[in-house]
Amino acid sequence: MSTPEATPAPAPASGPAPGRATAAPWWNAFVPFLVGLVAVLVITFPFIWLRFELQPSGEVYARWDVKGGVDFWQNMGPVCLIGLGIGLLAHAYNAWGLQRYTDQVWLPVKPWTQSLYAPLVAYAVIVAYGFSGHMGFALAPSPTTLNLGIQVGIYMILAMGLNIVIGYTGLLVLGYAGFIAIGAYTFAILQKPDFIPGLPWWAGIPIVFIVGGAVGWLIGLPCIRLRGDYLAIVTLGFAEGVRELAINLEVTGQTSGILLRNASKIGLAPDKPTILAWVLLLVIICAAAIYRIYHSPLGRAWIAIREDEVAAGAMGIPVVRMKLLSFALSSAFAGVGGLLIAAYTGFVSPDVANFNNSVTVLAMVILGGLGSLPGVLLGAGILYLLPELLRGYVDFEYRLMIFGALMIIMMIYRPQGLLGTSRHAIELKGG
Amino acid sequence: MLESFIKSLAGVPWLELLITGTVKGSMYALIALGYTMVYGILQMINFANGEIFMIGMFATVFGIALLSSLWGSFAAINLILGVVFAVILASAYGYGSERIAYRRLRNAHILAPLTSAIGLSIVLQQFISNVVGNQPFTFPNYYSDPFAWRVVTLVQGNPATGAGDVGISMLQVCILTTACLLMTALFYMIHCTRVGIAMRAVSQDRLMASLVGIPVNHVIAFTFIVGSSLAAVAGTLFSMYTTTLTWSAGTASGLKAFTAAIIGGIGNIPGAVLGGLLIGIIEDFTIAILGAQWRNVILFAILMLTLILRPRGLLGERVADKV
Amino acid sequence: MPKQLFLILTLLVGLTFAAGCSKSSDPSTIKIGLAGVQTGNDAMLGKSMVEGSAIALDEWNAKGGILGKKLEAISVDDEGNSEKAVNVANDLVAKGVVAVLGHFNSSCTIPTMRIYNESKILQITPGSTNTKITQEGIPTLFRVVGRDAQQAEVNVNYLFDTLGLRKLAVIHNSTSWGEGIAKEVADLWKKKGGEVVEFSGINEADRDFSANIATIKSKGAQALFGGLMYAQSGPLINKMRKDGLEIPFAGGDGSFDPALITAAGDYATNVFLTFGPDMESKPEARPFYEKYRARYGREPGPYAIYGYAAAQVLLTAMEKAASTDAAKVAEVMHKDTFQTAMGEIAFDEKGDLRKTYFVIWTVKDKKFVVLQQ
Repeated sequence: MSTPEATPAPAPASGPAPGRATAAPWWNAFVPFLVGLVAVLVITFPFIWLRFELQPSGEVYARWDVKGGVDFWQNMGPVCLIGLGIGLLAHAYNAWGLQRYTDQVWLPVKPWTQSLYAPLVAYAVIVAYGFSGHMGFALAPSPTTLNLGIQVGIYMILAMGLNIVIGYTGLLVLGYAGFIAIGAYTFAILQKPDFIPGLPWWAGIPIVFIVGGAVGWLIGLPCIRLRGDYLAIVTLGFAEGVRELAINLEVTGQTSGILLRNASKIGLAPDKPTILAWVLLLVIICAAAIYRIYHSPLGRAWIAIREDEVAAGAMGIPVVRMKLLSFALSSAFAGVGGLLIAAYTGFVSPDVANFNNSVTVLAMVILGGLGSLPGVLLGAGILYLLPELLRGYVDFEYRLMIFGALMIIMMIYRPQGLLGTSRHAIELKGG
Repeated sequence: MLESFIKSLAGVPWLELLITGTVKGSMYALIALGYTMVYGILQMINFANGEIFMIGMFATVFGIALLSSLWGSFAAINLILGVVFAVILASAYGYGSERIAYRRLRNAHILAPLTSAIGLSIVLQQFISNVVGNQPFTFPNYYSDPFAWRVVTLVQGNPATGAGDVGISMLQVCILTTACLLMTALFYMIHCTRVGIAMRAVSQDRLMASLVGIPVNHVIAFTFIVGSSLAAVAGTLFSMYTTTLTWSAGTASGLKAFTAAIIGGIGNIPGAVLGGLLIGIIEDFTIAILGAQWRNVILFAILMLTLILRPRGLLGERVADKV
Repeated sequence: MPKQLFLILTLLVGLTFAAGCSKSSDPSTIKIGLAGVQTGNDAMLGKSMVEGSAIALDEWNAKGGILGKKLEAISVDDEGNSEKAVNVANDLVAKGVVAVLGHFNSSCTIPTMRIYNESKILQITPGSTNTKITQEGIPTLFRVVGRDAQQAEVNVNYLFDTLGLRKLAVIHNSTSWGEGIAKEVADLWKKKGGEVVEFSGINEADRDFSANIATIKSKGAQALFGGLMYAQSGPLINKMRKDGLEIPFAGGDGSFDPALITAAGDYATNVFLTFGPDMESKPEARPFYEKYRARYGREPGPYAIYGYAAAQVLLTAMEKAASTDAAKVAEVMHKDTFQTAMGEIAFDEKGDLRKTYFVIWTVKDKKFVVLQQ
């Protein structure tokens, strides 16, 4: 295709002398970026700045939509600023030696945090704070704060579960919400008069754990042997299938879902601070369990599979069984999360299996750090709380769009997530 | 129960379902081609292809609206130029998505491009939902109604039982013709032109292709552009056929088209066409026989069965990577 | 793992606290929650309903508030999603609202009504017609629209008796509302001796109805009842007529939106929808419509007046009870008759309207008109 003549040799007279640094203008590095930016602005222009108006006659005309355009950029403004700030901070941390200063704070605290008791101490502090309202403490958390804390706790468990299969074993699951729904519905159906009405939530946990795991195992069985992308699609279809089954089956209450009776008896607890205490306790138990599994031979096998499946197989690791196990475990934790959602809200509907739910949890795992337990906890916290914090400044509807953009940006610039290890980064970026 | 099932089979309007299924399937096939081409060349799922389909829908209406404001409502010219506008804009989105979200991740672990693709699909979907609007829009009737007349009546209705006529409308003819033309052009391009040869070479061995002087990046970008154009045309046809456009249309149709690509054998172009038609027909027969609420459950079951029994798909030659 | 965990937990607690604090509430106002779907497919119906309520609250504020306090409207969007609705309901409870005007979708009202009941919050729904809602026996729950059962009856009577049709096909959108009304219609139809030849549910996201239409056509249905929202019934009518299915299309209040006519275009023929009587022709409703147009610059959706009337009832009852306590206000509401923009409103012991009447609307010259019977 390209002939040798087509690539002209650099003319020595005009080109820079070999061996000397080229005096390229400083903005050269930004040119492709700017070109890209302009291109994006151009191709999004019609959608942002125009709107179409349908006439009663069926004709259609274009109108300027200055208000809509300004609205969009007003919403995007704070987001872009925050993104820019975080990027600058990250850059400063690495390039300008900011780490020295943070280390001065961090290093004295570090041994404390590495202690096994640290999570327990943190737990005690938070729970005490949660209960402080009962003791008339002036700065006690409002019900909204407690509600947020509980939701974050539940999402932390979900994110940790998803992290097992994505972060440790390197398989993409897109229909996590399907497994959440399995857990929620299992608990709700068990409450029916034919089964065990009044089953308390803590007794339901082992059951949904087993049911969730079994469903995960069954779904994984046919497709886990295939390439990773098949699993992604199959689970996506699975979540949609669960949603439709829930809509169609009599036992799941069809479209109206299931309202849990005696919510005060089977629900987590009557008052919010106690619920917070229970949920956070569960977070710690799950984190400890996953931490132990990760550092057992099982976890090592998962990492080996993630790094090189063929090599892992050659070393005698039963690849398919290990993958299945991680998949089943992850869906078991999803079941527990689903149970908590059901017990907390007292209501299960087909909406639980929505794709949005899957995406939210996935974004938490990716932002926080694939394969890093503190990372996903952080990711869950940030992604649940940030939209709430920004509620007054950025339209809530832009939340998912920002999550999506976050996924792309993280994959390109920091695939290991905020707290991921560099090993993971090298692996993900590839050779 | 079985008896009532068989009884319900007898009344199935198979001829009309076959027609509507084929029409819908041909639109699925156009989207599936985008998935399968990118998969063939990069071994990755371009998840955002369904969203490009949706962008195509909206771009058509925007294009028509712009032209109408420019020189008035000339039905035929505006519609054709609107489609051209949609193809150009959707190609730009397709190219842009490759450039922004995929190119840097080409050699990365499979998780990275896949995640990025999902992120991109969410961004595009939410972008349209937030900027254009998240309520369903109507495709301008002025441009779709002229296609409503019936070309041929196949079965006369029976006034005694109340059964209506069965026929083929102009729009259905147009959809089938357009799809056939585009697919023929695609086959010709892939098998008989230089760029087609280059595409096949890149899909066989990217490194070797680059060594013999094929501009791999350009070929990949071209593949994305072709896939996006097909999806955009499918989007226009689909929105004319269903008379609506919504921001969420891409996910629903995209998932079905992807299932079609897998059933036909992903990476295989005739396979995508076959799979698309099959999915369209199966979907419509499911609606008639089992009820509309089971359509996605059945499609999912078929996908699972294909993966268990014949993971390479109906026409796929390449065995999917197995452990 | 414990490494960094400490830091993270501290950070998160801080964030949670900040997020919770950012909307600290002002105790000197009476807070009324306005809940409805404001995004998505049913956005226009829910939004105008909430806006209608907001106008009433502003009117009262202009008059100096109620019980010596100003009213504060807390408007929330449940996205028409039941899980989201539970979340916003909890949010409203946490913010200390004394009453809620909402939700719009039955699928949002059903899960949330218990939350409000547990927190002793009065609830008036201006839009949810599902029969189940008032069967729960919640004393502080009211609605200012009719029930699906009444709606279904009017529909069935018209199709069966007036038009003399016998074979009916039913299609619904698999939500509590759509499925509920579709079942009522089908049951009534069978009770009358008619035949239901097809009963199927579609997804809310579905837009391609050709196979459904083919099935209905082959079964020889004489009429189609759609338990669908306007976003789907419009395209369905359009497609039906294009595919040569000319049978009457009947629908409920969810289809009643000008967007249906836009979508169906010239094909909006033989359409019969049940909805409340023509409010705009009533003299007492006219000021509201004028005010709405002046304030929002667009046509009010069909539910705007229901939102407005619900707020009127609530505030009048509060004034009369001289309290914001749900039980006391509910007592007044059960007893009294209220003068609203919709006319006189009185509630029965279940919280339903004592007197409701649905009428059949049809489309003429691309406008909804009441069918003269």
